Amino acid sequence: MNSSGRRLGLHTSTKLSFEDLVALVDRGLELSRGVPSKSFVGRNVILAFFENSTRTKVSFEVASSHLGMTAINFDITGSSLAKGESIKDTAETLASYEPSLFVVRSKESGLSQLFEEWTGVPTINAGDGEHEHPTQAILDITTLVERFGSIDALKRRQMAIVGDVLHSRVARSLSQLAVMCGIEVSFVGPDNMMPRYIFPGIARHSSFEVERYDILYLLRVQRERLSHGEALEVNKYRSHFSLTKERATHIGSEQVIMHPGPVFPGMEIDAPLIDSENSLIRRQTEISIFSRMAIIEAILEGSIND
Amino acid sequence: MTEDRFLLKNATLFDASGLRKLDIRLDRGVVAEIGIGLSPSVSEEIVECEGHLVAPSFIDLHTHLREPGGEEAETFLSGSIAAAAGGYSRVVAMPNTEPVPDSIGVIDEIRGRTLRLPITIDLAASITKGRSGQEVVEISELTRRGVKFFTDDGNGVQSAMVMRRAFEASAVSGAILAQHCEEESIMASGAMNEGELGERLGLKMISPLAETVMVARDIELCKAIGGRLHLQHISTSRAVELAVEAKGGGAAISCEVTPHHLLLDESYVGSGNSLFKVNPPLRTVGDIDGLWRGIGSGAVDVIGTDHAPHPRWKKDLPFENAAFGMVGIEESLSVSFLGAVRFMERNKGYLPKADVVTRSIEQLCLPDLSIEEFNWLIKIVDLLSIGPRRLLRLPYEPLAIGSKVDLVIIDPSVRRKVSTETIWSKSKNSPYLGMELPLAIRHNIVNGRMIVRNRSVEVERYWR
Repeated sequence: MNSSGRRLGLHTSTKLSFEDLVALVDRGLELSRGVPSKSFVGRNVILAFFENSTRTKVSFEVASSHLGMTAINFDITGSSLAKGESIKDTAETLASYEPSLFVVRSKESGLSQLFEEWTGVPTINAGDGEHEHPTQAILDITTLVERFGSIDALKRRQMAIVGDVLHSRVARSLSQLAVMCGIEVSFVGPDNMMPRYIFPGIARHSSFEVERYDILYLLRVQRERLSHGEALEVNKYRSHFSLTKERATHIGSEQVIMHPGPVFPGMEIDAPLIDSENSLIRRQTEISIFSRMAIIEAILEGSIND
Repeated sequence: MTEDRFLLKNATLFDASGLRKLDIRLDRGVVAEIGIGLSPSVSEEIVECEGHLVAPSFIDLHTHLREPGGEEAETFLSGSIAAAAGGYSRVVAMPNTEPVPDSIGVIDEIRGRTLRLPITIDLAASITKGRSGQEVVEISELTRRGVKFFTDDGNGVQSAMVMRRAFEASAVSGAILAQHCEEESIMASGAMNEGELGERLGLKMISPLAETVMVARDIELCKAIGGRLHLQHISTSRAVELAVEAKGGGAAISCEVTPHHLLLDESYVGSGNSLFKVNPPLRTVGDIDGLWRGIGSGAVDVIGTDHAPHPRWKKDLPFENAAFGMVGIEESLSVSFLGAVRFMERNKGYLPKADVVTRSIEQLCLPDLSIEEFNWLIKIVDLLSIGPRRLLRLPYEPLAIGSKVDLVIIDPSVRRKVSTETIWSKSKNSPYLGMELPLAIRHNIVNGRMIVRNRSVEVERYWR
């Protein structure tokens, strides 16, 4: 919040209203159809990625260049952070270059919010720890709206979010928005990867029956995030929760497959399915540009309201 | 007029005998006369106490003074000033310092730095050498050399066998074993309380079981082996239940709660404000109510601050990376009292067991407080003042002529807003910044000297 009470950036999908979401989806699809974007020539966005990312960072770079902005990459590996500078000093130093926007990715929850509090510069959360990844969720809903024709057409669709829901920032953000759109979400995965407290209304299933769902949303299995004592046996996971060729034989032509990437073929999903008729995975990547353009426009124009 | 003779007029005095309304003549820290309508002499300063509560100055069994090794955050000097401002005459300094006070050599060396301060600083020794949890220190030897309090605070002693050895030594020496109740194998390496909010924020969580399992284990050890067990900073209602049960069976177990756990619940963490990161973590409102019922029933023995200063750079971090702990020794009375007020709002009609409040409460009642508030205030002062004296086996008999006594004068009419400017501690990592708190320590008379006068610490006069 700034002094006028307006929210500055985008940190969580929890605080997004349905109206905000509809506006961002509509605008993203307009831009994807070639409607001219606003122009922010001469303004800078600093991409501060404290955690490795290729897709998200490139997507933001392309989106901001389409808007006429200059994207400045803050390279963590060669930065003073590696030399022990505090993260707050880093934020303040970067802010002194007067960017119009920060895009922050971190392995810690809550860093984008702190960047904004420390600097007053609007900040977009491009994934923070195991907390949220709201731009991914917005682009996912946008992709679904394009596929099914309208946001109303999403109502009562069945969505399975499959995998390590507990440690997934994508699942946290997407569930929120999917429920807002009237999608009936189920979490599918091993018991130790299910949240215990949040989303009490969302069903948990420990078996993956693909034919029950209109939307199969596969999460990346984040082996590195699993804490000691919860070691995952890859083969066991695959036999229960991967979208294998065998399991995919039950998929009908209306069903769609999604994945936030990066995809490791043969882990969550077998390679041929990634480019199948049912898959929206490539389209998610294409839409991400337009969706993020819409988000940046809205933030720079101050049109996302609480 | 000399600087160490006072006549406290019209004091509502609370001490181990309960409540009385009277005048107290204090000569160099010793009660010279006590009674109604004492007439002033020219050689003494008159301190008007009408409407104020007077009690023995507070003792904190749980203060992090950071010296030696952490002087960037706090020192004996700065921490003792903060403690004085909070109404304290004595604090027990926690041993998570560098070096760790785990031998008489180290303790003697550190002790030398504390002796000239206006308040008393007791050094706690660690339970295990280097606080590593492996080998018990020479508890009997250290006890003979004046150490009463042992703790690995910051970490619980994980090995039951090591703790058993410590209890064996405590049973012989009478040493207090203060346990940081956290069983590390049960989700203890997190950042906030296990529950809906922590999961929504995607933070690693600390299970209430980490506390209750350790409490249950140590109660069993204490009952079987003997010795004295002090449960530090109890934060869950279940731990209180376990302690009540054990104390009913006659084991030498005492219970400490902190002011912050009596007021703040986990929702204060908000979207990840690291000023509210503390260990044990802030819990639920249900836990807060459980702690208050523990106080009301007499199960809780002391309020200990767990005053934990940190420099800014250790707090200006994402929640998971920020240091645990908050300062609070200056606000312990106010924060506890505000906690009681909130508890009363949630639990109308519930009152603490009236073991101290006399029948003539109306006459003694301070005009700024309701009878319910007065009851809770007395109970809180009991836990800040009398409770720690009982545990440390310091004198706490009722005030009488010849008693050597430190006195704190509490003003219930004041409300004050906390800011970095009001905090005396060297570190400002207070969760109460911006909050308006009730009550104030008006004066604090320690060793015959008024080290806090009109809410201001006499630093120039007594800390140079």
